[in-house]
Amino acid sequence: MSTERVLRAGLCGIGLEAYWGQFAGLKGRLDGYVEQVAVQLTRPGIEVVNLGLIDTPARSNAAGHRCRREDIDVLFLYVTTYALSNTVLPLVQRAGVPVIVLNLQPEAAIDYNAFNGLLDRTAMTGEWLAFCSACPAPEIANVLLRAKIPFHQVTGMLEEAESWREIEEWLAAARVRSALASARLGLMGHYYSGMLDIMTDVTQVSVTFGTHVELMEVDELTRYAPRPAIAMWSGKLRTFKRHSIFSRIARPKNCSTRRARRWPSTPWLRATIWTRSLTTTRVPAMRSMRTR
Amino acid sequence: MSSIIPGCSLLTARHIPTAGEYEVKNVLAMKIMDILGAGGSFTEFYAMDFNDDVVLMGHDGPGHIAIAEGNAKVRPLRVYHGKVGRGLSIEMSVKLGPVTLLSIAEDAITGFKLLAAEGECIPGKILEIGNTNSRYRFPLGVRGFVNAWSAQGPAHHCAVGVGHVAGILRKAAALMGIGFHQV
Repeated sequence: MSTERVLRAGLCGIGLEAYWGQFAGLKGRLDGYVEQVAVQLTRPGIEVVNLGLIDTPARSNAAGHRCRREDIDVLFLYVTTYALSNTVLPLVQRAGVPVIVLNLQPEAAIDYNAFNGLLDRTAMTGEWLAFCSACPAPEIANVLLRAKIPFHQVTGMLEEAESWREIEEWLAAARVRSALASARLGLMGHYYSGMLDIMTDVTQVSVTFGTHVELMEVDELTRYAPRPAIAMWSGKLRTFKRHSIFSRIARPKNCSTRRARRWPSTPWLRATIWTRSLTTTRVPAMRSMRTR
Repeated sequence: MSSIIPGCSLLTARHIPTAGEYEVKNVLAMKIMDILGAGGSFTEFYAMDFNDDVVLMGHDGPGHIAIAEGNAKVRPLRVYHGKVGRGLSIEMSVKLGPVTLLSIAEDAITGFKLLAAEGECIPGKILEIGNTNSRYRFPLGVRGFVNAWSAQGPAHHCAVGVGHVAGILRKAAALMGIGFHQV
């Protein structure tokens, strides 16, 4: 995992500029929610690109350009209140990455008594609009479907464990996609003749997963890695020992008298002898994956 | 070159999944499990135990020794699986508890699909033939699971990882625009 590229997650809140002048405190409150989500998304291995609250088509367009400059892998589109779909489309079209729509309400429900006690109907509407994330969810889905842009939704609450479990899973899934796209797959040897199920369209692997594939022969490998020095052997055996995988190596039943005399008491020395004395008749085909 | 299974097992434990048999799809599955921190050990069906309702699964290696229950052991084998090769093999069991199987299979529409199953690695007798070997129980039972898994047409290998991660795999498939099926 440590070798993997950091995941870059874009985050934006979407809202409606027309509201800010009409409902005092609404924008500040929603900005705060976006910041709260940004903080919660940030952790080792994930860099969050916070695009802030996007509330006009022009800001959406600019945010789309920024997504490309920032090289994001996934975009979290947090619906903070009602927002027009023309505020969403330019951004997601330009970003060109998978979109996760966060439809998160600040609380489980509006406090009806406190709400109705506000008396000022403008203040009441402002309060309601802070709970209005579900309102544009179908509108956004409608436009993204017509634009053939894949999207996924998390519906729930801002500080709810279940919603965040879902978000964590999307982050992990985005990490899989990103890591495979930056991975290098080495192929050496060949298929076992007749195992048709294993035979794979390697071009399709690169097309689907973005994985780079490198073909090599075993003699090339031995050229890259010359015969190891004794010091390297001991280092590697120490590693084996640390993993304890040689701790229970058994003296073979068919051990010859000559070999038995050479059979040392230290397990990893026994392992050395076996590693050197056993030779495969053919090198099994193998492949390994390393993340670039 | 001799006995590459121990070396491949060490590489696998160091987040460089390595598979034998030119298993491109399975090394990708192992890599996915490793990215999720779940391990990803090369596995295939060994036998069914209808008495205990478990499936024995394993391989002659490599084993993901980072997800071994206890110490992994190295065993010299005069033959691996009776096809090609002989040498040192890894004997280990996967950590007991929740596990997820993952296979990457061909899909007529999306090119590939992810096939996953969640089950439990349970204690009990295993085959001590110098291979990785574990006992797995699935909610569908032995018959139901083996039928449902094979019906999806995966190759005969899969990657086993620790923990239940099918939810994440479903989402990863969605983000990559490929199919997903959970048995």
